[in-house]
Amino acid sequence: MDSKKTFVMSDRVKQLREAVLATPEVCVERAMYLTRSFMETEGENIVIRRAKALAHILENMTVTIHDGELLVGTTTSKRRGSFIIPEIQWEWYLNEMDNMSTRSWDNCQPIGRFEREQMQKYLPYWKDKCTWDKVNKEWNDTVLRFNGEIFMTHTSSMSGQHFGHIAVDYPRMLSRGLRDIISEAKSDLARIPVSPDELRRHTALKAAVIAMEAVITYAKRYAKLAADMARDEKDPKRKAELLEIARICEKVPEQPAETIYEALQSILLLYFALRIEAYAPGVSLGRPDQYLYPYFERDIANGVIREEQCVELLEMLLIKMNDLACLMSTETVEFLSGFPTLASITIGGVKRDGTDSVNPLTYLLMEAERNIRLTAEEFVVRINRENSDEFVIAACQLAVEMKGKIKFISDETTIAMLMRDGKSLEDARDYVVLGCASPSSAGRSLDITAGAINFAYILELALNDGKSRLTGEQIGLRTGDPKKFASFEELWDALKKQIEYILSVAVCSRNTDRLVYAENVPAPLHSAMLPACFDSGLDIVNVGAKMCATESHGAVGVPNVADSLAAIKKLIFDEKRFTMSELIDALDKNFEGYDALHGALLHAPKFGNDIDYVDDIVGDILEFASSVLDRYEGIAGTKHTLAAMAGTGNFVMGSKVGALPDGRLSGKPLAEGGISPSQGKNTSGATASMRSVAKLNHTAISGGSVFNMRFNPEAVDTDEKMRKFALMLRTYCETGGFHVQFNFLSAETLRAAQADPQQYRDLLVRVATYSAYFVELSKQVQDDIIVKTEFKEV
Amino acid sequence: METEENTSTVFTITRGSFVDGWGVRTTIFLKGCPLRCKWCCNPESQSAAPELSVTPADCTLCGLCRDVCPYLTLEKSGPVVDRQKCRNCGKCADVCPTNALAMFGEVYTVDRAFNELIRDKEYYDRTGGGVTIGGGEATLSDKFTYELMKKLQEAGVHVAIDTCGYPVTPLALKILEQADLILFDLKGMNPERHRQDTGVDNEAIHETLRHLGALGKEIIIRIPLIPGHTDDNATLRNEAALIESIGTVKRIDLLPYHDFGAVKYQQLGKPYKMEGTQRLTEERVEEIARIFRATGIPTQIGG
Ligand code: SF4
Ligand code: SF4
Repeated sequence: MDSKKTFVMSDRVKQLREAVLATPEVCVERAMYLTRSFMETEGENIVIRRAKALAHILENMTVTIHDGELLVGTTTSKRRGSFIIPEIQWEWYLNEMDNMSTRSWDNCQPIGRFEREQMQKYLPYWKDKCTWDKVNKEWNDTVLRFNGEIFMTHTSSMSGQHFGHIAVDYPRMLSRGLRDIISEAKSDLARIPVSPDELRRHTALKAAVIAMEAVITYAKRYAKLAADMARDEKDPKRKAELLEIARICEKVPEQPAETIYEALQSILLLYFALRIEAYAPGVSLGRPDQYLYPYFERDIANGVIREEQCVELLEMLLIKMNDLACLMSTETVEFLSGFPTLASITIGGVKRDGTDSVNPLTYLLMEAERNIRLTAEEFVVRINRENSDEFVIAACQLAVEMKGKIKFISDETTIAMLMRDGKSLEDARDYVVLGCASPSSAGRSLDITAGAINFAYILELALNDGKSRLTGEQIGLRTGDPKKFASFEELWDALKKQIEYILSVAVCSRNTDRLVYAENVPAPLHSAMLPACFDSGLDIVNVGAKMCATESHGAVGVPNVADSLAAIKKLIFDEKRFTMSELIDALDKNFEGYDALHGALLHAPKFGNDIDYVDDIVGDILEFASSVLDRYEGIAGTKHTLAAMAGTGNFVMGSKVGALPDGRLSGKPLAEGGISPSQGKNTSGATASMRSVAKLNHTAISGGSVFNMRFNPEAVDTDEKMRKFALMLRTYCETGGFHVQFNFLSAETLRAAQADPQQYRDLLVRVATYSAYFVELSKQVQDDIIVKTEFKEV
Repeated sequence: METEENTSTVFTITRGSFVDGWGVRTTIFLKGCPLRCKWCCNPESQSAAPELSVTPADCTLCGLCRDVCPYLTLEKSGPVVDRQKCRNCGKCADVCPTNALAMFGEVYTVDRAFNELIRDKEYYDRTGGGVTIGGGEATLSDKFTYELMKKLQEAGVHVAIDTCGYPVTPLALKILEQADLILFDLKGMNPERHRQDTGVDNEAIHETLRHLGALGKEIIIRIPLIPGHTDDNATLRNEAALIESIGTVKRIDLLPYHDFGAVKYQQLGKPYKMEGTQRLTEERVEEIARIFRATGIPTQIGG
């Protein structure tokens, strides 16, 4: 196939795309049917109750087919809808009902009367039943004090989300059809369960059957709707299309898909059902160019479909993924603003056998994305030595055209990270990237983020005898008067003690939450779609070691900590230009009256400039924290791992921390991304920043890490420069880098968008790791994006 | 000991550059230039010594600089330096906590420069890039540049030299003869105007170019397009003819005039002689590009 071929969006695709570029609306259907079902199933086993609730939703929620659609199904009853997840948290939806349409970011449309009434009617049912209410009773005082202070969205309950941070085994479902899996479950159910494991699996299989039947019912409702609409349709062409939709939804996902069209409809219906069952930003489609390729290849060979028809279907698939914009409480949204959906699609890299995975469908998916470029679908491009330059350049070109909305991941580094956490070589090669930047084996493992921990705050504790500088509260351990630290080692020891302490509380918090999840919110459909769960009868909330599951604690502000330590080491202990006493006084006064010290701190070496003096400190902190987490076991044997991801939490976390020795003023944002150098501090050129990040030991941050860079689009405005850019990216990936993504936007464009939001409604920017519409972000986040150092040639 | 060391004043090192030659490069800019082009956008590169840069907008009026130097006063708008008396010693920049007072240029030994330039070796190797030594005029610091170039080449790094083609010593010429790639600046064909604009004769420059061509050196020609100085068709056609006759020119880069350098003149307390010069229109730049493309040599706009 000619990889340079481009495809023009059809009018109907344009209209469908336009329709989801809307301010989200709250849909209460999920909450309503879920609650009604729970009211009726009290006393039954929770796994069964969850399956029945899913069935009740799928049997009753509104089904709609919009003009021009070839792929059907929805997540909510709205064009771009936000559903409610009361089984995790219920109260904030009621408290923030009015605020949701007026707050400074992530606004929805004003909530209508019907919705209000239903919310008021059904949500209070969840008092003391939702995981958040339950876990708050379980947590000890220390955890409670840390929540919102040092921890952000630190557990699933706190963020209001499920464990839907996974790519299920789509190929198994496509090739077998749900009916065949149901039959297997039923024949196993016919055996008498005896052992505790068998008894548990017996229940799980019953729930799995209910959940899978529900998906089939959901599909058949669409088959019926399409057939009904076809009957009244005057346009013969559309009539034929509706009849085809009816035929396909009657067939899949119940039966195996046989064409690419059937396969796309099949995974899409399952995808919606998975989101409805247990949503989190990060319900992923895995590697569709891999598992769909056999269908595509056969259809093209047999003349069943033409490339442009296939691209149109792929475009419709991508648009469909944008029908959800999940609302989060104001507290959580500060951490993840911009309606992150993170519906990732991973392309590139190698197959399970280690050979190049790129195929013609990979390019068609990229072409579809070139046209659609909305927020929800996230393209993750794996870069492997086996991939051709042509592919890498095409991906870079796409990233530039989309202003940067592509994540690049190094295969070499990632495969090593996954093997460190116990995955086999083949499973590691088959990885996908979920959510912000968590690597995971598609269909074989559950790798979720535990949330975020404010490392800058931890440094503050070490520099203030365990107290918050802003509130004076004794939060951490008493590690001694910092003015008396006589060597850098004493400070480092104090920091290590604080890290150990805070991480032990983090693990306690997380494990408590996971126990509550295990008892309250199993996800039988997800579990049926994962062989390890299906075979063992362990639900995904309880699967642990069987799936090499990990949960990663996201360290925020590590670059600030390292920059601070480097400045102290250099100015106070190496050069002896200032004393610890002066430093602490200056921090207490937010540097007022300490200009000389402040200036010297600002000029000290900063992470992101390829200076080993400071880069090595970043590495030391990450390795130490990771070794602490290694000591702990999670529920059902999961591993606790470290990540370096900030979401947009660098703002709110920054607001909790006083002045820092890197020269950052009190309350200002922390370094963005996770291991992106502090805003405006990487001034030595792109390769210097890349080397700073690539030299870190990424197996110590096997939960993933985030490195954002901004390039002026002019830096890559010729084919030759684009080639250089692509090869530079390859070098980064081959020399130890893990993740990188770019914003290709000039500051002028961003300022123009700030001034005239309407003109820039679909302007995408990278926020942390996901793409968001620039105009839907708060002024503060917008400004931060504008400040980030831009690399360009002069 | 310092006097023995082979040093030069570096005014900046740019890593991850997509311009200044093939592949991904690091460009090291040395201070000092034998030419004084009126339109120079790097006036901080002209003098060979470190120079004080003043940016009053960055001043917080903290007062720290006031005590260190009699040639410096602090006004409401920020620091004011008596440029006649300032010795560019840098003491005030040392105490200034912001960039209001800063030094353009830092003295580097060959070893220090080498250690910094070698860091991106993996990027050079993977992208077919290397190091570009520019300025200023790289060959003016002839001992430094020669030794640095040799050291880099021995380490397997491709070295490009950016030159105005006016080597003033035998060693300077040797640098050009032994470089892997030459970025050669051409600034007009009329001898008289060239002397007025740049301060030197252009025949010697053309002679160097022909000499390098005869040696078979790979050359990229860079032509600043300065309205009223180097942009008339006669000049451009003559330049095209000269370039074609060399035989080893791999590419021509046209660099349309911009005024980004103006702010640096202010920071250095020097007059900006190009005030009011209009940028060329895109159509005109395209027209000029066609003149050069007629030579059959790839021609691009911008570096
Ligand atoms: S550079 Fe030296 S002489 Fe010039 S103003 Fe500063 S301190 Fe005074
Ligand atoms: S030291 Fe710098 S910031 Fe302070 S008054 Fe002088 S110029 Fe201004």
